Amino acid sequence: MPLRAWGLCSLLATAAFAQPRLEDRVKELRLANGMRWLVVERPEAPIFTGFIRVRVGGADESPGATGLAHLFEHMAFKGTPMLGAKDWAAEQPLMLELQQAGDALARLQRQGQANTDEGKKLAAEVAALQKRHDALFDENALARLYQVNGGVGLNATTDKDMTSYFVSLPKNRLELWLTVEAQRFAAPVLRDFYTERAVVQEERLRSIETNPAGALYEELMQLAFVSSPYRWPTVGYAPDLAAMTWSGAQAFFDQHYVASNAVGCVVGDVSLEAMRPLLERTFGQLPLVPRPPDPVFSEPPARAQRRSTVTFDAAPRLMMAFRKPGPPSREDLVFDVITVLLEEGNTGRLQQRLVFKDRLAQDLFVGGGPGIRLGNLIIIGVTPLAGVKLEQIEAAIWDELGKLATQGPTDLELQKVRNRVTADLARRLESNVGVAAALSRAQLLIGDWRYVLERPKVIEQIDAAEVKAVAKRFFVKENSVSVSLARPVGGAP
Amino acid sequence: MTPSPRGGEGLAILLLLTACATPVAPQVVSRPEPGLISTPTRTTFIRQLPPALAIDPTAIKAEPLDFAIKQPEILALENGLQLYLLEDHTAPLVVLRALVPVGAVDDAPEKLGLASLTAALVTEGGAGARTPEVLDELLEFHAADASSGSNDEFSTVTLSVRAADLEKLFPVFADLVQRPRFDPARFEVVTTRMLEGIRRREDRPDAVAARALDKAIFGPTSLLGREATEATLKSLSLAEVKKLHGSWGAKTSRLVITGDFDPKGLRPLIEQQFGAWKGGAPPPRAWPAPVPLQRRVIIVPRKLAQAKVRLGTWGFPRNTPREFPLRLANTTLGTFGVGRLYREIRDVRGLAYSAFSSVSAGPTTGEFVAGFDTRPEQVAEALEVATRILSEVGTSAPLSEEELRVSTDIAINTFAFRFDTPSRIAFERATSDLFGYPKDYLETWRTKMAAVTARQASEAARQFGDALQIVVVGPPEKIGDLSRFGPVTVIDDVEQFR
Repeated sequence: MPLRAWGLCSLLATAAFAQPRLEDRVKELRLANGMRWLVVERPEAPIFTGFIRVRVGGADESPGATGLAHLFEHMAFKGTPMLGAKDWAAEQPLMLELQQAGDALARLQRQGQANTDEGKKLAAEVAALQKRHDALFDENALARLYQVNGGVGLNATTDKDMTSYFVSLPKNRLELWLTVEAQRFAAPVLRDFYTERAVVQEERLRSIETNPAGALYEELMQLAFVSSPYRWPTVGYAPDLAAMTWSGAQAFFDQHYVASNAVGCVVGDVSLEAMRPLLERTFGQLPLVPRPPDPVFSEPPARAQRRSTVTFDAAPRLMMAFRKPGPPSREDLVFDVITVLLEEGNTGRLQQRLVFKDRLAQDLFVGGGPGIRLGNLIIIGVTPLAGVKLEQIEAAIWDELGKLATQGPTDLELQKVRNRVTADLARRLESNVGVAAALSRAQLLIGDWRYVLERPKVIEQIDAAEVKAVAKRFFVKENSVSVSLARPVGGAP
Repeated sequence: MTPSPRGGEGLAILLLLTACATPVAPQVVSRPEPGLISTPTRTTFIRQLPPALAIDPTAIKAEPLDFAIKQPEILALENGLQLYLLEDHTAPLVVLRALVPVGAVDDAPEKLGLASLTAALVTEGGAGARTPEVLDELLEFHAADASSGSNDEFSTVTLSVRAADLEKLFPVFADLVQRPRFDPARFEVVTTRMLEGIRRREDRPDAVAARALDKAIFGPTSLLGREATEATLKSLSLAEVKKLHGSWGAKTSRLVITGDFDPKGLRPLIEQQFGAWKGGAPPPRAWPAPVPLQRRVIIVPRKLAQAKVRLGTWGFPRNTPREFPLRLANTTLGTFGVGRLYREIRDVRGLAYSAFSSVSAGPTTGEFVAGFDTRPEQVAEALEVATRILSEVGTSAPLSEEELRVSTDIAINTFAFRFDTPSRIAFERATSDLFGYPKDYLETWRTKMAAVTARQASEAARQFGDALQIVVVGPPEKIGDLSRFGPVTVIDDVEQFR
């Protein structure tokens, strides 16, 4: 078929003309209690995605109480006085009784005294009270309410920086969503606390104790940080989980779940005008309370490379990391450039070297972690091919990092990075979930959703000299951490 | 703050945190700042809702929701290639996808892995006039994402491009599908990487459990139960890869194109780039009837702190009215926060982080899978619960009207999300055509779902209690005796499970 009427322009992007730009579609609202809301109208499908993010995560815990932010996230699914209660008047005094017995048992657990006569007596008491309490509530009322209303992707996540609650619903359920979310923010009832604590202990077994990548990552953080709260795992340490108290979880909530410490975001077939009165009636009812302070600590300077080996019955793995500043620092963006240079597709420098040229690795990744509120890490994770010595891999990585620090990237490479950053942003912003996740995260953690759109523009300006300088400064032995996974002596079971 | 060493004394007050002030002027609550050494903060042990928020959320009414399902434009070229086009101008991106009905079931038993290796190499090994290195540079410079792979029944090749690059990169997509170069060095690299994947599949106990369960349900040597091994992968040659790719052809394939394009401009380009494609024909498939199952327990011994438990049996064949009652029964059993398994195993007993189930369609039959992860000492207790729930639902504890209503509401109200992005709409349409579903399958889906009675769902669920295959991965000495759940087989190496 001849290509008549086939002009160069006929395939050009039409999106830019057909749709208002994202920056013009984001509407901001600030409630009197300090809570910020972002609303993005995307009427393409009759649905919306809602996010509530709270600036509280593992980094806001203290040693001895690790895992609290995440445990609380689980507790926020247990209903409210209006949701799940069968007899609210009878439930309250019973919960108080249960909490006193359960927390007393938790304190014995902390002292290693749970197996004493006193401990056993308390355990029996807790079990009996729990049984009585079970008859008074429906702990799945919240999940079921969302499910029957067409909720998709109902979940919550906790990381080192924040806790997030999200779901997508048909557009006619906006009032329902705002009401339920405001209710659980104002008055969550921590029903079934001790059962949920056991569930989280199972989650730890699943994600860390039986997962080689999880175990290695936990070790990396413990080694990379000395006093930063990024040191401990979000899921918490097993003894801390076992000794967690209900009153401790409630106090943690009281301190951190305040409107001024949260951001809400709705993206989809909704309008700000329709939302405004609903917001006043729901989240607008929360009191004005100042934001809790950020963690205070000082990470001592590193004087030596840190290395360790985790014994785990699985094939070997390697992770290396370098400490670096988090966003919105300029260096952080230079590391974004470096990440693409090293990792991207088949042409990234480390991919080229380790996977295709030297054939040492099955796969690798480069990325940041474990959060962005505090000084963080650039992490290089490698899955070696069988029989390859990890020293060889480390040497090749150091060689590539050294080249970057001495020669810098080429102009072609930098242009590739710029194209990638812009295209990836477009891909992330294709869905309601993607838009809501990116904007609310930047608003909550960096203080401005526009950071999402500004980032590619800053990256556009970063040149080879700057990449070289940052690589030279940060890719040094004293700033590095290296952890590996090795089978126990004696091999497989 | 710390986990309080202070006990309940500070908490014995049921403090009411209610907004007494008017809604427009929120009250200020002063909170003590935590000091460097945490001091006990006074806390409200049980909070009450502000009056304006103290409403019953289950009573909130939703306006009726009516929406039309977007339809892709469906066309065919003269060579038989079918096209599914759906515009979406929300982002300046276009996704090009080829769907080719050649998959793992077409592999000879001693050549397992061939379909998967072939598909993977299509985007890794260069194409047309371009060597792998030149192709990688071109695509990655333009931030285009190429990926390809295969499952049991089909292979896909996907290229995601910026809309501005479509005209330039569309011919590259045509090269990938029709003229991959299968570079020998890349053949080595991709094979080595796949071999490493096989070596490492033992490291993930949940993957071990899933493999053992598939083999148990479909039969370890059946088309759907078998798996590639180090030996079968090592036996593959470049010539065999090229030969299999020769069976990819226009007549049986589908192109799914979604995103920010102008169809008037795109159609001639497709004609130009794909109009001359002939290719070959996929090998014919014969599906032996599945062999009826007997209930049994399969233990895969592993030193683990947490056992993986999976229970499975047949699902349903494609395009059967049984789909609807089975789906509703499955929702009643295994949905997050709602299902019987989830509530009893997780909520009531705290035995697992999650307990789930799913049911799917397949060429002869699909799979029903229920599962949870729990401490080895708790496996028997949790299995007791799970097997009881699965056998009761079809007999002594049928779906209640309330459960049916909940499950039907879930199915119908989540339906809009099957159509949340154009690429999902168009790809779902292409695969349902590939599998021979009627044209009105999606349009009538909600009506058929709504028509199912509690009795029909319970009767269909009878099959979930029958002939369960119970797979447990974990340390046998801690798990203890499971013979009351069925005859026990111990399999050390899932690969050797025959």
